Amino acid sequence: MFFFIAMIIAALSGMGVGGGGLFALYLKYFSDYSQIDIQAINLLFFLFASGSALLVHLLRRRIYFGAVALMIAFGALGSLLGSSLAVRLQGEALSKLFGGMMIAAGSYSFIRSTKKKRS
Amino acid sequence: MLKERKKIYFERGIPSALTLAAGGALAGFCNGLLGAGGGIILVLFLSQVIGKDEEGRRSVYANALCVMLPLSILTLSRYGGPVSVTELSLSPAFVLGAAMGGILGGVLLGKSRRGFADKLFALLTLISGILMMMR
Repeated sequence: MFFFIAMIIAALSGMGVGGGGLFALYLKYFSDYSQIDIQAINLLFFLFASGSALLVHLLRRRIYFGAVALMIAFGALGSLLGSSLAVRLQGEALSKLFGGMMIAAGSYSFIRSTKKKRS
Repeated sequence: MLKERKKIYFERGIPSALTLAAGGALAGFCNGLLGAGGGIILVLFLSQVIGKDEEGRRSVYANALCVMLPLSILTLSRYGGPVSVTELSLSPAFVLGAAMGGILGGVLLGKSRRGFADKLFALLTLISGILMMMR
């Protein structure tokens, strides 16, 4: 069962439809892990899922390496700052922030997809 | 194709570089703080630079994945965690399910209609966020 859940969510992640948050949600409701541990497992899940999806993308030559390198460089700085803050925050606060982030992301994406349909 | 890629990088010059740098920093911060969410930020910023047509939009998701992988490794190294986290994450069901699903997703990305995928993303993310807040 866990295998199929992981596979379905990973497929959604590979399609770019936001699988990462779904897996964290699954862990939140069906496990006893703390929020920071859920986030760690979620990251590992993403690494396995997206690593294999990326292989498909690389074979089709869709990567702009210059843009990627620039974003990674600045992203690393952001990641260091964000993770330093994460290990200091309480689990409930992190969980609410996580949920709030997903609501904001989902709302924006829905509005944007609706606007595109109209235009 | 090379001419088109040069046009993307250099036509807007510094604004494109600033857009990418800002997107990378924000996505990295979100990834570090929450362990997720950086991808959508990358998609938003990458869309401004490389995602102007259907093929470009499919490239956006692929490029976002390229950025998120090393950032996620960096964030993970900062989190640490108990042994049980490692045990779950290295179980065959977890690894094989994630890997096979990822390959399936990569194949389906090239075949799916973008409009459908966008709406599915929005709906799933919104519902997940509400459920996370309730827990």
